[in-house]
Amino acid sequence: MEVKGIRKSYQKKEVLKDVSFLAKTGQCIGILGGNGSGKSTLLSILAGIQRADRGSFLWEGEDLFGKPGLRERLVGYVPQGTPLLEELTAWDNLRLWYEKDQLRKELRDGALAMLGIPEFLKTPVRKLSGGMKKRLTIGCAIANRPKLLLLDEPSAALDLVCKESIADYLKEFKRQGGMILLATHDVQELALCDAWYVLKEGVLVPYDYDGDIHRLAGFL
Amino acid sequence: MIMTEIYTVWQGFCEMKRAWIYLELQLKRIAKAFPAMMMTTLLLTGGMWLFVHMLLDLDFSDEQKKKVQVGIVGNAEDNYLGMGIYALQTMDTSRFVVDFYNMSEEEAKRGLEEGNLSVYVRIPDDFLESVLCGENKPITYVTTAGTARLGSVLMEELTETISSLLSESQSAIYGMQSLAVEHGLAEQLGTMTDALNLKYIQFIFNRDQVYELELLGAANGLSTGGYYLCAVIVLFLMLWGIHGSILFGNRDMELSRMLAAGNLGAAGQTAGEFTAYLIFMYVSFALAAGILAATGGIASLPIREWRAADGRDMLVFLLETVPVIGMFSAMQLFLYELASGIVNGVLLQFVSAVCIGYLSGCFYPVWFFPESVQRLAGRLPGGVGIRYLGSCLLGQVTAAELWKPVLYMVLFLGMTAVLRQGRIAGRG
Repeated sequence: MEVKGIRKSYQKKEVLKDVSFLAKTGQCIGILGGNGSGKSTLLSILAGIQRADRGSFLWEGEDLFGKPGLRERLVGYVPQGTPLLEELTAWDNLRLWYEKDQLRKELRDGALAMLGIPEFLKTPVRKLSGGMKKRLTIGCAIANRPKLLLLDEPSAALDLVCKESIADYLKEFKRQGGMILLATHDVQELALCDAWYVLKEGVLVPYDYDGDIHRLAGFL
Repeated sequence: MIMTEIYTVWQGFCEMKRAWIYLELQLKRIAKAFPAMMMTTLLLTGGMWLFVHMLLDLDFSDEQKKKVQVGIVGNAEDNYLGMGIYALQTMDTSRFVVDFYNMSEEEAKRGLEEGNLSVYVRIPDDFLESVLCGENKPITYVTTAGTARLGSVLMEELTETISSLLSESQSAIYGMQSLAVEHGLAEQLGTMTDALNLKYIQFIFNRDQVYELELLGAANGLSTGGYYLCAVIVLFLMLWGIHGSILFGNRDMELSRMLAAGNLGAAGQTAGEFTAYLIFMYVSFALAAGILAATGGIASLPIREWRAADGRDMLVFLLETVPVIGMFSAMQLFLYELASGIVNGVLLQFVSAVCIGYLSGCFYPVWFFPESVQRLAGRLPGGVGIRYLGSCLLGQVTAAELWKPVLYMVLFLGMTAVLRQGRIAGRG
């Protein structure tokens, strides 16, 4: 997968300036940056929510920007908030993304079972904990069995057990050949990544993360 | 190439399927919230019914109460003044709003104190002579502080009218007398005076033939009862938007963003939410109408258009309301899209309902307003709704009446989709 020369401006402010990077199968890429640095914008563009002013998103040579159907099949997007219908149950929310048969199968022995969703399947979303909601959101995002998973700060405001559970799933996703693009501040998530980039003033700069948070903070 | 086309068709089918499931889930949300929403609906329906009754009672049950009661104090034994007062009492232009009573000043004062009179007008005894002599002996307008504000403008007009009527009629009679004497017809003076008086009274009585009253604005052709029914339905349909707060008031845009990433864009989301909300609004409206019909609430309303009709006409009316309910559902969806948060959403719904309702003639008939406001009312969603429902009541729905609510509905949905798209793409 190759992201090439992405530019994005909001009115006169240029948020992304010629952002480019490569990712390989089974790789997790961490995108770091301060608040408002453009991490979420980059993920939104790759997810097809926003349009880039310029640039391309190549998958095996094909530009996914011009092929929304293919992009939807290949890319799963987990936003920062809670993209769920709070009054409805976990099952109802999953129905929006899965065919019934496929859903039953995934709940029995697939990715949804791995995320532990069957334990709260019939519970209204508003009664779920933050961690359960995040697992459910990931469950919704992977309905098409995507090759690339875009995650926008998935562990924000979650407790350690939930973080662990999500990290376990992401490791498994990688192991099965999936690519992950992770916008994060979280140390535990940074450890999951194989390559790191810092988005600073709209420019994506490679960063060699060695576990030293103070050095990273200084770089940001 | 063929494979790509098959894939595109399959993709379109999947998107359509997701849109259907989205609609299904929106309906499920509504079903879950329905008991709470229905409680509000019933409360508002009760309020609506009372409001209609209040408005209609004001208009029909005691018409006399609406008239301004005016006492005339003066020497009625004077032939000319007496005739002038009689003319005033039967004056066609004011008899619908003003009642004149000839009385003594004591009676008038008592009437004013007891609230039986709004005002009395004291005509000085030698008022007519003073007019002839060029003196100024003004008519006195006596009222209480309570009615002074209400009547100041009206009473100025009234005093002017009384003054002109009395002096002009007397001038005419004196003029005729002088003419008769000059032409040696003094002996026929009595007969001629009677004839003139009769002609004058006949003229006063027949004045309604010289003008035509046309009611402008949103209620052309409707009875007052029918108009109020339509106006109150429109007002409460707008107020029912408060219901939507449960569904749209506290929305997290993340779902919209994720759906957009899943190829269900702003237009598809808007369509799904609108359809579900329209179904809810219509069911609520039908249920409220059903309850009112079952409890005799509708039958008790003095709606002339339904007097000769059986329940089928009401049913047809209920079915024909769909475009108006669609228009208001779309408007409410748009307002929730415009506002952020549940409190802002509810406030915006309420303020919009009251403002549009007021300007469209939901509180007072639109012909109470200046012509410019009447023209505006006819163009506002409220006015369009009243006019369309009026056509339904009269059984005169035409394409020309139908396109306005439909156009508004499309416009509101379009604006909602544009706003949604902006919000989806707005946050980085």
